[in-house]
Amino acid sequence: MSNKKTDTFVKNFCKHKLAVVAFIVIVLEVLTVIFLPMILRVDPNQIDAYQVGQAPSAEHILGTDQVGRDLLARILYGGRVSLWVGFASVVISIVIGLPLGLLAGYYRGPLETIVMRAADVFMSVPPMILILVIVSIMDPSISVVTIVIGVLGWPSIARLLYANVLSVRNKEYVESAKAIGTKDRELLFRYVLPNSIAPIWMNIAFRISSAIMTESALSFLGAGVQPPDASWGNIMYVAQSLGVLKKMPWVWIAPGLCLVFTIVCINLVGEGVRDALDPKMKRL
Amino acid sequence: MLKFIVKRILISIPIFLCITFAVFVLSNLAPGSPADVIAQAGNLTEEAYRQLEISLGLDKPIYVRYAIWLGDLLKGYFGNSTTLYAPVSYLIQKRIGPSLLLTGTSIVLATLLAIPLGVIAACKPYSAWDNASSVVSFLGVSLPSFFLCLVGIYVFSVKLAILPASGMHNPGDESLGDLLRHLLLPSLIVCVLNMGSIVKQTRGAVLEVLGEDYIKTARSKGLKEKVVIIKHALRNALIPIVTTIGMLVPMLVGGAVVTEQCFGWPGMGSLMINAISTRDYNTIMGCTVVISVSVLVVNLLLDILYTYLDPRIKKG
Repeated sequence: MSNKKTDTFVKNFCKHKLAVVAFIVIVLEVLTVIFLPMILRVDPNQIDAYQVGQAPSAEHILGTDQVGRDLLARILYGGRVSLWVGFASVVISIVIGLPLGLLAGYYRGPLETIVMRAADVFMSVPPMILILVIVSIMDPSISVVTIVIGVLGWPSIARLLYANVLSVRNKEYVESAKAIGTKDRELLFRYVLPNSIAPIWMNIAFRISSAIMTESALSFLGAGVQPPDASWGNIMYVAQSLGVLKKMPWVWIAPGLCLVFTIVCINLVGEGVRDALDPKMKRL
Repeated sequence: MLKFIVKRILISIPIFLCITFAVFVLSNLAPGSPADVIAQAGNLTEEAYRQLEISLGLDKPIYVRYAIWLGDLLKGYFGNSTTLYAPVSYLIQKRIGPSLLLTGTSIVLATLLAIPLGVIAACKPYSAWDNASSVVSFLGVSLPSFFLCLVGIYVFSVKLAILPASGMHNPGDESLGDLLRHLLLPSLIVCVLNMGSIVKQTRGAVLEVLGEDYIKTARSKGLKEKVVIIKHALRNALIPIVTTIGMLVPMLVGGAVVTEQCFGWPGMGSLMINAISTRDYNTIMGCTVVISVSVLVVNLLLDILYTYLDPRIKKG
């Protein structure tokens, strides 16, 4: 984006008060999960057999889990994992989906057919099911979960961009750039991409929040991030048992609220970005 | 019409082949081939192991094995579950009903609640109803399904003790009332999670149609507002709404995996989760194929439904 465009964007985004607050909260949250564990020097994997399943107290502010690990520490480390998976997997989706969508829309022909039909195939399997199958075959770890969620996210990014590139490629400014002998690469990156990328910007936040939700659901089912690594989803894994759900509500309520709070904030930022980029979409 | 349906089915075939091929290749990537499983039981010599591979057909190239597997699949043979000692097709037959019941109820509930809310929100923009609709659609995309399940069970089953926490029936009680009591909470949760996008789409689509000239015409003819909204506005806004509901189907199947697991609902989702935790590949692959095919079928039905909703589509 050029400087002037960025300025207008920031100005418009700031009009959405709630989105600005949410953005600040997210930044604070990222800083907290990165730096607070260093300051508190808590160990998320320290098992204390004398402190099993303790309710929140002065010593363990959020209580301990069923094997006596400090929940605050696990939630902080779990937050690192959950946020990391969310951001990193969306980067992967964009790295794959953006060039494919751009090239398919611009060059058309056989490339278009292959890419868009492949996207159809990907989209016709429920994402959760496909992820579960793949994760069950490769041993799940943080990086596997990130890569799988990221790779499976490419079709929707490619489709979004593709649709816009199709309409941009025949615009007069592209034609005239072509007429004066502009090279393909410059055409793509100077004219076509900047004018068709808006829907991707509008979607990034929602993609991040849904990636975080997918990761936590997977981990909650026991098919995602594996212990001893913590993630908000796998901390709540034990609450599948009615006994834990009933007698140790602090084990699942705190990470669950962190998750909801984070997703709500990211989605609010997403709404702010969308309204700033496309005022017509507002409240539609 | 028939031509359209045939064409649409023909488009689904390569997609079906791609999905099943991917599933097949994936299942072959899984550690531990069937030969290894048997070899583990008895101590086999190198020679005997190779014989075993030949008898299981594992020496053939992967595309030949895929063709054989596909043939079995079309005959409804998915292999045997390695942990539940039953044919996978039998297991799926037993589980598919409860799954359809849960997702079906949720979709119907979500549609019945969401469309009126969306229409009211569109007719009275910025009213209390409209605000309610935006809260509903925002929450729908912001609440993780499993957390909502846990909260639901905690509040209604543990604290208030008015609804059962798990299963489809109380042991020995096969009555409809008992089934409904078990169905209420999970289906409401899946409904809440999914009605948001329908509300949003309905509001947007109706709002757009309300600005059209034919709505002005209908009003100036002196038609009742109710008729204008339902017969003219909603009727023309139905296509994007139906598309949204259709796009929810794969999501719903995926989301219901989590809900089924939380509520111990005896459906395909929980069958699959258990199969994954026990590395029961035949069952995993069988479920995946059945689920993907049902998504394909739903998409096909939706496309046919479109042509009824908007006859203009058929020509295009």
